[in-house]
Amino acid sequence: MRKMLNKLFGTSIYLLVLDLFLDNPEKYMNLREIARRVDKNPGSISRVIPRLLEEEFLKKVEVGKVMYAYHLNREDDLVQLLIDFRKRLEKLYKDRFNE
Amino acid sequence: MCEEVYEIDRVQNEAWIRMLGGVRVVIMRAGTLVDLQKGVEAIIGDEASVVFYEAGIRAGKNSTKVLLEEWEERDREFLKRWGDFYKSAGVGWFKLEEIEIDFEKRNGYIRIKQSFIAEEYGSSDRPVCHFLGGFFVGVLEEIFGEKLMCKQIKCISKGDPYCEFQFEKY
Repeated sequence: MRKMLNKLFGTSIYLLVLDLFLDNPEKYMNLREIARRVDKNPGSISRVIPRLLEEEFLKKVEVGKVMYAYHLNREDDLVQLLIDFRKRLEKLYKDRFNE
Repeated sequence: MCEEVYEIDRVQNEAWIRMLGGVRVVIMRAGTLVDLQKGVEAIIGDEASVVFYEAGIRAGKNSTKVLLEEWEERDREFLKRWGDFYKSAGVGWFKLEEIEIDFEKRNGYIRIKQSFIAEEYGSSDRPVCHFLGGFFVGVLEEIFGEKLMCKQIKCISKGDPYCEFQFEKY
């Protein structure tokens, strides 16, 4: 995974998780999968998920009795803007730094 | 019950004080770590909880490596002595009330009283012992060799009678 937002704004697990979803806008992921993909303890991820839900960047769906999956709230205009921003940022980095 | 009081060696005219076969320790006011936590919270907000949780994991692993080298006890016997060590006979971080770990499923909980973080922090609408939550993960991961996550579900800072941390293998 390319850590575009961390590269631009500095290290943050909140941004790392948001970046992961912006890079995978159609994917549903549970806590463990998010943690595995960003290489952090799920306990750390669970601490930033509430704010991502509160800001309506993510949506939560129940997939079991106490299991949840999260996905990007693509209906939100701000999220659409961020998806576009990230794509353009990635292209710019590729062109400028040959990454 | 282990009644051992751990000795601290002081090196005259130097800054060093040491325990457990030479590990350098420092004695701090309990509120110092809470000042640090509140300082980080004031700058980065909610994500400070992640910083202290991750730092706790690292600290738990490193300190447990030392204790595993120093002590012969393993598994439940180790945890019993470990609980005593973190009370006043040792470093005075908390009083272990209950520990329930399923050695097969690698899950369970730890219940403590007198958390030095919660007592110094003052009242809060959410748990505040992020460092201890991570610390327990680090300790248990080092003992079991499994990946664990922790959620603090009770905290005296929010009016609960004790602090409780739940663990789960992942």
